[in-house]
Amino acid sequence: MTSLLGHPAGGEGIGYSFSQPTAAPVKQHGFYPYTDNGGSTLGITGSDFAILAGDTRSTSGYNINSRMVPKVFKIGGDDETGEGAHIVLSVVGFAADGNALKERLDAVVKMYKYQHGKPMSVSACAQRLSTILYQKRFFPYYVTAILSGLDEEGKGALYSYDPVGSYEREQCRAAGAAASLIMPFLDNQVNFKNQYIPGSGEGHALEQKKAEPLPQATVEQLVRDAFTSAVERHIEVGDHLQMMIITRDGIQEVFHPLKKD
Amino acid sequence: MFIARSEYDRGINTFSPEGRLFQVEYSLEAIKLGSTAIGVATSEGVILGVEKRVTSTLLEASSVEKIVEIDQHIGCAMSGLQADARNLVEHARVECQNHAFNYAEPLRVESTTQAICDLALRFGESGDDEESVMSRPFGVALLIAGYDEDGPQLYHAEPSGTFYRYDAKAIGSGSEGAQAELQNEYHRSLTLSEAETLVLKTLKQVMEEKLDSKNVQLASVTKEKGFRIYDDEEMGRAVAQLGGNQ
Amino acid sequence: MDHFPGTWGRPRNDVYGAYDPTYLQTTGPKTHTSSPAVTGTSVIGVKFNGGVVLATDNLASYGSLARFTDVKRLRVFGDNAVVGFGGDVSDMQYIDRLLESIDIRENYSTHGNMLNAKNLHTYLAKVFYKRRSEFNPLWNHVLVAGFDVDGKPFLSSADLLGTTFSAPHLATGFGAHLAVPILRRRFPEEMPIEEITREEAVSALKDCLKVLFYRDARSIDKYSIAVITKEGIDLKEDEQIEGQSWAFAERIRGYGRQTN
Repeated sequence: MTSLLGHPAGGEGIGYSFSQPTAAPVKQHGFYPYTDNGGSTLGITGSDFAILAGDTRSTSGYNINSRMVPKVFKIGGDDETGEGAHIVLSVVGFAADGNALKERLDAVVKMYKYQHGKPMSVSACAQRLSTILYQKRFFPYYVTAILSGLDEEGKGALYSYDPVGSYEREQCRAAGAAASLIMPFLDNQVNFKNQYIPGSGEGHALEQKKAEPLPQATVEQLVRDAFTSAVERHIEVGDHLQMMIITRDGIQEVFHPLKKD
Repeated sequence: MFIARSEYDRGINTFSPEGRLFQVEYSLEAIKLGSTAIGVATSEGVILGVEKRVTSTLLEASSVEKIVEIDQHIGCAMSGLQADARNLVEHARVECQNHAFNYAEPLRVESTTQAICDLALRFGESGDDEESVMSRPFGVALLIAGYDEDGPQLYHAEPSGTFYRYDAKAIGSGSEGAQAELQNEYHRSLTLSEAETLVLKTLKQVMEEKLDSKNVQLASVTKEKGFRIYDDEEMGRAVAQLGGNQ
Repeated sequence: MDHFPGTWGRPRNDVYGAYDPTYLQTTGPKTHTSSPAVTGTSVIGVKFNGGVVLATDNLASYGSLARFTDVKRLRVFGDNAVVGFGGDVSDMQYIDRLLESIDIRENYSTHGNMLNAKNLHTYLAKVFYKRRSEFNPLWNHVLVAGFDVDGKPFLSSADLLGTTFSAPHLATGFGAHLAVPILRRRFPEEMPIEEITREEAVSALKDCLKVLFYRDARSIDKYSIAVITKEGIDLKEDEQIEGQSWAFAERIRGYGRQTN
């Protein structure tokens, strides 16, 4: 008999596969639950203030989704505008995870105030954020978070995280797409790395310039410079700069234009 | 109250027509059978004291544990069914550890008390997706002493799930007499060692046995040392001081 | 004919080849949709003074096959909210049933369905995010159009991963490449939406649909367009792309309307 579909006929006779065991090979999921929405964030602290900033561009590959998607959020505020908040969170990476994380932390901080009758301190919030991230150790929130506010002494506090909850208090930190562009600039301009005091030693054995808390105006200018420079060299960064300035008087939010190309 | 006794004391969560929950009221009676426990709060710290009721000379007095630690900064004294207290204390310890794990700070005294009272009220039939709870109200009251950012504090938690903060509070069989004594003697400028003496003096008045360093137990909560149960030496000193004062 | 009645009438191996048993998978891990099947292409939307316009074509493709040519991909919710669906059509129908049941439930309440487009978008984004977190995604990219609580025009996007963003003009799929640049040129970002008229917005979307029909192989020239204003929703589901120009293709064999 001639095979209609070109399969080899004869030999095997008439057989039906339904009775055969259906041992299928293990199939991989074709679904990848993450994406990268680009952008960058940056935080710097001073003796009585902290600044957390981020660009507002959202990307998918080479597309710009939107020019106004903020990455910096007030946490634990009394209403939708975030009025009354004293903690700020920035998230960069996968925006959907970032939003979910922000909403969870916001709920936790609000519940804390109801349950314990006092506002949550930044250090307590920092530890809680770490445990929230680590609870999803094997399906992480794909974000780099930075948490900021004022500590119990009124000094600027800033905590930076990896996606699974490792964290550390720092003077300054850049995160996201242009972190590798901004961070070395911060090392030099905030922590005075590679800056030496002229005439303090023989030849190249000079004394390192000591890092000290910078004034607010200087820090604001550093943040703006960091972003205008990052925009020049990174395609995922641009559109607007969003800045949250945390002082004892509250949180001030400002926007500055960045290049849109 | 036994005049009004009726079928309404069967279902533990059934109100009587007069609006009472009999089983909860009975649980408060159980506490009145318990040994006396006293707490006194001062600006320096809180003193807890209990009578141990050493019923036999063959009983090892140190095995009677009526004051226990909840966390470094919180302890509690109990009166009533000791076994029930273990449940509440265990719950409070877990809450304190969870809070420290999640927030890198100690749990506040009021929040700890609230956590205990949350559990105290979880009796009766459990829902479908609820973990199994106590079938009856807890038969124990606690005096919770602690130190946090608001200073030294003393709370009293009941099986009914209510709690109040006190300057000085007595619970258990001798509570009526003891509370009256505290009412007379308490003042805001009490020092910690004066509070020690006040607790012992009050216990002495309401105890059936003669007070000595074996049948009472003291503990303190201070900013510097947190919660501490007095060892034999300190108990001896405190009891001796009481004798000297009188 | 053999002697086993249970095998009668079944495809014979010697004729059709052995049956591929992987379609009858009974072992291995539990699997979910790992790719969409019947899909809709771009959704495009623009805000204007007093409302929002949303448009899609009426095609549902099965791979490269133009399978269903009369599929309504704009779905109305409540009095002034519309969802435009791109991606898997069966998932769209599932979400549509979901939204319908919410609409019915809300209408039993005292005040009727008070949910606005912003509420709807938040809800949809959470449904998408929950499903992606369960590794069982709803394979769609949607635009939600209508008004927010303050009565301002609202246009926002949500996709199968739960990603959300908002802009004065948005497009999904191929439209993100072809329609967005047209819209950004016509309505620059710094231009307030108060300066955009309804007519300008509608005409811009029609032009975008035409470009998409020219260059997106998974599109057709029949489309739906919804204009959402305070007065209500003006939904047209049986429109035809007008003024097509295939003059360039006149002498190219097999192009445009030419059949041979």
